[in-house]
Amino acid sequence: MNVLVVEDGYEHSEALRKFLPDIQWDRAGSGVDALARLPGTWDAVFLDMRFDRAPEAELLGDLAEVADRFNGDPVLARRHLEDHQGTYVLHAIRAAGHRVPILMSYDFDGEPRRWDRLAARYGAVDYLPGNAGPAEVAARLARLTRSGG
Amino acid sequence: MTPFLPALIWLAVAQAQEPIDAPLPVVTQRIYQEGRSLEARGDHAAAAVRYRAVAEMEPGWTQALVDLGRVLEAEDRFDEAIATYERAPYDADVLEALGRLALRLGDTRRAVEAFHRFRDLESGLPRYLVLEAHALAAVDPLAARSVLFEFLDRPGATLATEDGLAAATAIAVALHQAGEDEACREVVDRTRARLDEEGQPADDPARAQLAELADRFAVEDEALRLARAEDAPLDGAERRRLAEARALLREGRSSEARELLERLVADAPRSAVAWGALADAAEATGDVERAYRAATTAERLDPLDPVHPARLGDLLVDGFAGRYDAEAATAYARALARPGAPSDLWFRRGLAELSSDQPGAAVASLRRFVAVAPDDRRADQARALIDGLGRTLPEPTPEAGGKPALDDTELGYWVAVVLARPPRGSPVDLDRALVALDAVLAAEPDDTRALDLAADVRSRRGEADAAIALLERSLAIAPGRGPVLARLGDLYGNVGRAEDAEAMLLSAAEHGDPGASLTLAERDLAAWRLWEAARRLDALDASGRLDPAHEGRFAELRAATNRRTGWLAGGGVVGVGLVAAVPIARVARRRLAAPLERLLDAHPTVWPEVARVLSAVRHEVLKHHCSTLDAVADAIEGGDPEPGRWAAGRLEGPGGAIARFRDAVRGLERLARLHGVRVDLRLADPVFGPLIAAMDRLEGLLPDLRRGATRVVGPLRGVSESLNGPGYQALGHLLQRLCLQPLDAEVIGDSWRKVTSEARVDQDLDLDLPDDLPRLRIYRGELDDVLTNLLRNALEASAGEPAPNVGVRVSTEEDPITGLERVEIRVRDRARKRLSTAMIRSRSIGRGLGLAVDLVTRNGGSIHVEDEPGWSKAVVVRLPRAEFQEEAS
Repeated sequence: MNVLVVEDGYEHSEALRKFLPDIQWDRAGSGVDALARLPGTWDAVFLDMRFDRAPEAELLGDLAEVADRFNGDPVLARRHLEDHQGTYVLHAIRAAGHRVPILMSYDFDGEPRRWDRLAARYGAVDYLPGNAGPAEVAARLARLTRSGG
Repeated sequence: MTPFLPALIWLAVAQAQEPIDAPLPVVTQRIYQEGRSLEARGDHAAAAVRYRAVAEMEPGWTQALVDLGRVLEAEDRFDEAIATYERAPYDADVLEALGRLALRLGDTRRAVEAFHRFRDLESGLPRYLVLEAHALAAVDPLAARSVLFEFLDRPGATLATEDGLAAATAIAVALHQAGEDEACREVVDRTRARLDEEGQPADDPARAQLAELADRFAVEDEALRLARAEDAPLDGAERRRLAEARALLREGRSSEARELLERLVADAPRSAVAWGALADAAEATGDVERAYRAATTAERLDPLDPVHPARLGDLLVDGFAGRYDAEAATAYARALARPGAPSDLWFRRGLAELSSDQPGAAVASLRRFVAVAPDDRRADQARALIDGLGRTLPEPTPEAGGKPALDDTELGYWVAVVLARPPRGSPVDLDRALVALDAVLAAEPDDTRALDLAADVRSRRGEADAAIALLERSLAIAPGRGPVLARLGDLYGNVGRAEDAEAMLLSAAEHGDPGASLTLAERDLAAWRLWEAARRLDALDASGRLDPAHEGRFAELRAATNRRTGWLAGGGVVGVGLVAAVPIARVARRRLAAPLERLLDAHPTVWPEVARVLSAVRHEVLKHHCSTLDAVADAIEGGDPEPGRWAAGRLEGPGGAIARFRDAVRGLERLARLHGVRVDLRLADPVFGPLIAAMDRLEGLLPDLRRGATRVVGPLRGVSESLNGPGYQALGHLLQRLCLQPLDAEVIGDSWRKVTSEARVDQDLDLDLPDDLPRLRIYRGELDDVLTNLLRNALEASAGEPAPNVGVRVSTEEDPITGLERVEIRVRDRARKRLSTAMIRSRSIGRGLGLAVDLVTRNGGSIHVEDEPGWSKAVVVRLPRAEFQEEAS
């Protein structure tokens, strides 16, 4: 299985390579990077949510539009984009026409209404809380790719 | 002349000025340039008028605020400057200016808050850390040290700047004044090393100041080391046990010897000879780490006997494969500085210096050896080494390798030390010691070492009052030294000053004297204040100040406390329990440190900061670094040790997960202290207590984890369960509790009643709520403030219009990308007065409405003015909607 890990650091990709060596892992450091790599043959995408280490230029989302939601404060707007960047990447991947299954690393257990909306809108997605271990990641990826989401 | 000519000339002048890097209207630019010119000419008052006008005309252009603040500072109008900076609490430049001014005015709390906020905004720059560290120095020097070190670890951080040197010096001085000498020395050493790396000139005044501090600490260390010499002779039976152990050691039965000696040091923990013998036995059994600890303890207990540092030097050379030869050379040098040191130590020192790349010093030591022991069997070897080295090295100076020259005062002090505390076998001569000390104090009346030693001598001569006067003088010069406070307390006790003795004892314990802490714990135990005793013992254990001399007493007290606590808890003595339970419970309630909730209850303004830290712990520590612990345990159990090493690498060290977790804990406790709440997350917090305990256990597993030892598997799974199961969930629940607030008729009604009561009107609010009532990510007090101010504004603006003239409609809208929902609160009115979104954003509004805007912004929301059918207008607040999961789910 080939999986593209999209994260701003190296924590997930390092750990997954180490503990799940049977899966072929590659890494994209931002949404922009992920979109550039996606035309390849990927069985799934493993997508982090928070991107607070990615350069501002590589954050997806309209900073000016978001700033208006924060009374024009660009700092709060940038933080919003960082904190929810995973969903912006998800949106961009689907908008570009990629139907690849996507496993998000974020605890949507506490936000079931939000997750229902995202799942209905984007399809072929699943999530795991951030404290899930590699074995759970492998099992969930297998299920996701088998069912196509 | 055309009437437009002046305007055209004015425009031309404006355009001729230096362009401003901001999209300002020409008129505003003109005024701003006037301000710059006036400021350049030194007319700060007139410049302030221009800058203030620009700031009013262009409220979003914060450079004007920075400039206005600067000229106000130049005019010493500090309050106005602070008020100016506080108008833009989200701008990095403004916050930096505010923090610097607060630091200058000594308002450290404001400075810390400003720099902390600055850190949020400019997290990519290491510079903010230095500023925060400097601000923290006066409030919490230990925390300041941590922040400074974090700065030094950042790539690209430069210390050799005005900010960097000022911060490092301020922190070192604050630590020294707080009695945190070890931490202080660490700051000085790292700072000096860093300046060397950065090529800072040696004659720089800041460097000289740091060097002076370093020298002072080194001398004080030695004085303290000598002053704390507490060697106690063995009694007859103990001496026989020692002799028996030595005999066993000579026969090669080292394990039996060691066993005997371990028991002996447990019974006689203040005997240097016992510890020394244990070092020999441990080395013979191959346990060099235990040998090293025992040898250092022996030297600490009896620093004047050269045998102990000599043994330590041998151990470092023989037991650590040459890794610590430089340290061994230093140990030999210490031994040689003591009277009675054997001459062959010069040879051993020379060899250690040679193998640690100090050829010049080695030649000097070997020459000295040849001079003092020309007939020794190793003298020829020494000569050959000198010859060999001499061929490649310049002739060493006569001073090289010898003791540093001492001035008369310094020499006098050491003479007094040797006279008052001579090596074994030499007579004590208190009279001559006093003569030497009087001479030292005549030259250096503030020399606390000499004062302390003179007090000791006077006390031993039975002159308690004189000794007390000397120690009081010493503490007036350098307060906060635990051991000195403890000695003064003893003296007060001896002369019947019980209250003073008690105060000194408490102060000594507060300043880290282990003996004083143990005495207080003993008293607590005697009075059945068990919680207090246990807490005191825990604190002493955690402080790292417990030395071997006090370990036995500590263990006894710990055992007695546990015994009695268990006794009570088990209901063993019902009668005693009934009598004691009430006062114990009262004391426990009063004295126990506070959980995080106490801070959150008392200071809602800190909630966002606490939430940020909790989120970071959950995300960056638990999620990134602890979620793989089970998989690591599986791998080790399967015979693959490598993941253990990998995991240990991510957990340990300054940037590792454990350090980050502890930084977060310290950060929260520091935040609480800044707000006057004594939070102790380890002892008192139900969420963090177990997390800290689990993290401690994890740290204890690191050596086994590094080796991939299979015995780590079970404990590692246990820790993983604590951190990834209940710990992760508990943090999540706490975050939810922190941030969620229902928006219902009761909340809105409370604010409306407050507003109508103030206005002395009795009318209804037109309220339109959805069936699915939302919750907001905002704190109750802040939500009340927002609603009250908006409703008050609407009511005042609609006065005289037909009722209902104020209404509220609540609905929800969704962000199509993130799936996040926002709650829309439309406060409708029938006002005739004009109000626009631009007016709100530029703060051209009343103070109440301005506060509402700030609160909404801080909570990630927005505020707009919109047309409202059927009404005049609506002020529309949009805030993030939160989903709420019951804890049971």
